[in-house]
Amino acid sequence: MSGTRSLNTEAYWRASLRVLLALLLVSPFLIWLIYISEWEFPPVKEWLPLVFVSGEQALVSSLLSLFFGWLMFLGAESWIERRQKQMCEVVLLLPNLTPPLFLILSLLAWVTPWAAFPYGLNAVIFAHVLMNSGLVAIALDRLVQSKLGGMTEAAWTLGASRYQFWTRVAWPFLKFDLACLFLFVFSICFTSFSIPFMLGGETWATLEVAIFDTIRADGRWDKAVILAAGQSLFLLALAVALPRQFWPPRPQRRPLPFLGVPQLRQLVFLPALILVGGWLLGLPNSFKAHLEPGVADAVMASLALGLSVGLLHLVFFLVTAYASPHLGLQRFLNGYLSPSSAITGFAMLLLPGSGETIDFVKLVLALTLISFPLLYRWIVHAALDGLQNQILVARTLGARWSTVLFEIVWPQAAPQILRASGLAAFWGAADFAITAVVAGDFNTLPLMMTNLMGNYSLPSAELLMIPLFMVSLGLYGLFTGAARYVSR
Amino acid sequence: MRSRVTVLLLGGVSLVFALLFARQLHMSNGLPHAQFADRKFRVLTYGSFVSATGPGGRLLDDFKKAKGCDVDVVTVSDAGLLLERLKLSREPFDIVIGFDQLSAPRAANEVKWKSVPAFKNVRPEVKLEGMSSDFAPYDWSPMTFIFRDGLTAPPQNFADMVDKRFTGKFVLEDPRASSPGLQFFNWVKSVKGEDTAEFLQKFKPNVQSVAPSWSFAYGIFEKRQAEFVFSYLTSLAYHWGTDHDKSFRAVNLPEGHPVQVEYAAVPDTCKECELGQEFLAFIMDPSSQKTIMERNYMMPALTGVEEGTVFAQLPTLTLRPTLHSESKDLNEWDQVFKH
Repeated sequence: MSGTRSLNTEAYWRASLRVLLALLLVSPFLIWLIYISEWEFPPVKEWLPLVFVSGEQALVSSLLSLFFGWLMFLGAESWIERRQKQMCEVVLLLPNLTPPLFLILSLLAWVTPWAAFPYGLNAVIFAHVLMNSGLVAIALDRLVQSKLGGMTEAAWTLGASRYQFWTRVAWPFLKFDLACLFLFVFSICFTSFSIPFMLGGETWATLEVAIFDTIRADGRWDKAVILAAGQSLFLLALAVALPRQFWPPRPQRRPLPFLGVPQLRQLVFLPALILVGGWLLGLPNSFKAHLEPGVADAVMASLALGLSVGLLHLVFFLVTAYASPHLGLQRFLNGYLSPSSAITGFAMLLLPGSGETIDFVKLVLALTLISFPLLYRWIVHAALDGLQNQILVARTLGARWSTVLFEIVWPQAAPQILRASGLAAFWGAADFAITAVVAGDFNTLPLMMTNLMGNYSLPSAELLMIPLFMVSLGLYGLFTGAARYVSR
Repeated sequence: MRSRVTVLLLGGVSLVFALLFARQLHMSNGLPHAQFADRKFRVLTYGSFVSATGPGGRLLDDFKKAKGCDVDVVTVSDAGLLLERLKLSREPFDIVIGFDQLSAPRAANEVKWKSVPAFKNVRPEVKLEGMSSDFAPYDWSPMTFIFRDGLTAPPQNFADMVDKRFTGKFVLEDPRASSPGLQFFNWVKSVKGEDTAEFLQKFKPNVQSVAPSWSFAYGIFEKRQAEFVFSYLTSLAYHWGTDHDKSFRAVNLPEGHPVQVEYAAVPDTCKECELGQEFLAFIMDPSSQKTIMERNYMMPALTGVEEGTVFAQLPTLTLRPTLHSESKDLNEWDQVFKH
């Protein structure tokens, strides 16, 4: 009897956690719902053109990302050795892992002083393609490896050409997965804020920028929240319509030289070269500057912030793993993207309590609410999904959910969960959009950089890229190191 | 496995606390015990005002020493967000620093403010018509295009700005996201009136980029991607005085130039109102005005403070009254730049 009761209690507990998690993720909207007493729906003429511009930008960005990602995949497949493959993966993912501030400063450094940067829609699309094409290449590798691995070899043995392989084998099998991959990249580009804000010039390349403008210029939170909610619902509906994984767990990796195009080998390095090259170009200018006072304080603040964000992600992922598998939760997490930085950040300010510690907690929560859905969808979902059969067997044999979590899910999914938490820590330490709203007196390195830029001290700001990069990478290393500790 | 997860989480949380504690220890290093006073007032301002190179830190330190109080500074990245931050804060602020004449009227309408005393020796340039007397102007600067000597010859008048020799040479700020950007738009509107859209259409080919903020626009200019940046006349003081580079110049147009004035004010909801008002008086003190001038690179609001400094050597520009409120009507701008 007591065993049945504890199982029932566990079921209620898991259901409550699912509801709590969903409520927490949509809490920025709920907070505004309570706070705003008068609502006015923005006139169609105010937002429809913005949806078209955002859609156009996101469509072109994601299509080009898919195309260049495919070319990079073809290039990457011609690197055969295991170590070369691993290096390719790191190099391809680098632009996507890089916080937007780094990416923007790198791009701006490239064009100095020989040519003007093409601010506007083209610049935004270029930056998005640079960011996402490597991710697409790796996702394609995972999709081909997991779904077409054997067929690739069979097609090769039977003498099929590459064209025949892609049109007759790959396309029919992968078209829905590719649609989901397209949707993921489309969502990133559609909701992007920092890049279009900084590089968009006079163009509102995304709805997010327009939402920020509505808040800044008019203080119309009602309109901004309606626009953000509409955007989230739109993306959620698309994701529900296309519920497949675009980042499947990879079975044993096998070389696919048949698909490789040796002429495209070097293309794999192009985005990372553009990125790192920009940083290196900016360095000589930075060394003319000197470190401003307050750097030690900002380093500690960034470390504490990044670490806390990573830890909170870890807790959220553990809660999700405990409350999974559940179709509704899975669909929600795979489709929901958090509202804009301004809406989430200012919503946190409306929560009770203030003071340095509480502001810090709010900041950590805001950053987690922003990046958790994205990281779950990208990295953790595949890891959890791959364990469903084992969980089913364990449950049939009478295992409790807590046993499932700690003895089945965690030992196998910990590396991905910790890597995702490490990425969250990396992004958290380097964030400037939400931190600028919520931080109060908490001076992080990115805030210091933006403040220095506002005080004629651009070289000093660029110099801070070095400690910021060290802090962010150190945090990522800490979490991936922890992955080794737990999976020992 | 459960124990490893616990170790991981506890270890991480301990590390966060250790870092926060170390930071606090580092920040309070060398501060006498007497400085941890009971009285604490809250300041809301924009980030660069209290940055390592800005004037706020020094002013607040001096004030804390003088009054034996503590201070809690809250910053926003963009002065345009000050009002929203103030309205949404659960804890009241005792002073807000950083409004300009474009954002102050909306702030005056939407929030109640304490009245401030009339300060002596205030320069006539900062006394703008129609501005609420609850807002104390603490610095100002004419606005113009800054350029480097020896490159393209500067425009001689407003009409000259559309000349083809300037193709791709100007960097502007977006009027929706940046106060200087709105200043530029209002300036064009005040000079060109109904012909604003036509002028902007002709000027567009000469615009290399429209940046989201002044700092970004100035970065583009400093990196030599554009030859002319719409900025403060006092930017010259930075280059001449701090950078020791006299090659920078300001465009002087006969039509006159807009002026940017920055204000501080005490919200009516303040808790330590007395300290807020005392700090407001403190920043209007000549020595504080000098600190603001030298570290914020803006002209002081009081007369005579700049004498003997590089600020006294800045060229005199004719000033032109422009709109003093955030104009929602950016139709002409949209017609030209959004298509």
